[in-house]
Amino acid sequence: MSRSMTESRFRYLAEAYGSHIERWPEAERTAARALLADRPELERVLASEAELDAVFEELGAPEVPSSLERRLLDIPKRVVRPRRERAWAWFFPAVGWAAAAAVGLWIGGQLDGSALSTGNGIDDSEAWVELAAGDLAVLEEAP
Amino acid sequence: MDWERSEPSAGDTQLVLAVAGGDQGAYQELVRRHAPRIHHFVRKIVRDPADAEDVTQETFLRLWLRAAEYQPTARVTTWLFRIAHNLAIDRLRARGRVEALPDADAEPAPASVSQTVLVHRKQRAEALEAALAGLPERQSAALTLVHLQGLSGAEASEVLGVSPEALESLLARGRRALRARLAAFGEKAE
Repeated sequence: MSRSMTESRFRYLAEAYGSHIERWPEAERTAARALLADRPELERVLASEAELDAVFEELGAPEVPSSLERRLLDIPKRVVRPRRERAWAWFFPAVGWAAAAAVGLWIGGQLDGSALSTGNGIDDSEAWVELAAGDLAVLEEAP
Repeated sequence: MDWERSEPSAGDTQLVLAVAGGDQGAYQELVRRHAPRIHHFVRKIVRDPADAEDVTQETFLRLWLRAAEYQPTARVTTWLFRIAHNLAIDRLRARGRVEALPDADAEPAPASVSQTVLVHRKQRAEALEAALAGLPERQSAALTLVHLQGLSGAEASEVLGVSPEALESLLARGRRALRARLAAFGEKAE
């Protein structure tokens, strides 16, 4: 983006982000560099902020106390995560029921009518359905 | 300072996704990569070493337990800093140490760091640490994220949950306050 920038905006950004323009908001860097090229005296603004930047840069690299690092690394050993089964919880019972139904259908398909005959004379599939529904009259009607 | 300017590895996202699947090695790699920065940032906010350790531990506990909630639209660093910042603020609230009006502090008088004749680098670093510790929490957090941890303005505003304009204001006032405090320190040292 190459919008123009005012001097006050340049000063404000330097005050906020420091002397390194590459650390300023990306959308404003080009305009800032263009303004700096037009107004070289603004280098003094950056130089002033560079003093504070240098102080920041003198801070050493952070370290984690070794006891804390050990505790952090051990978290997976100490904390058991809840099993992520909610999304699949429906799956296994559903598969079980489907498998049972499939096996039932397969067995049913393997049997011929005589295998279902119990010798009580009920060979009509509709009669079996009525019997299953509790209609005992089927038995009385059987030959 | 390499640690503060370095971009996090492109593998961070893959590591978090592996942690979501229960990979302990991936979790430990993320601890090694990010714990120093997270702990350093948290210390700047809560200021108490024991509290800082607790908050850092809680942050990585969240990583272990809630990695599946990570949205790859945000950088892992930003996500971890946001968790750490929220936990740190909770800790300060529990301690009754959150400033009622964190941005309403008085404007310090402009000062030049060059007034500070701090002979040793260690002294300067200690002065900066002390000056940061004396700032309102949000200014201190903004300065730490941008100037010590190397986050961009956009990332820092996301971590702190403020607009980019508000972040700039926090940074500008924070740096102004630091200059004044460092100048005062330098005058004492002279």
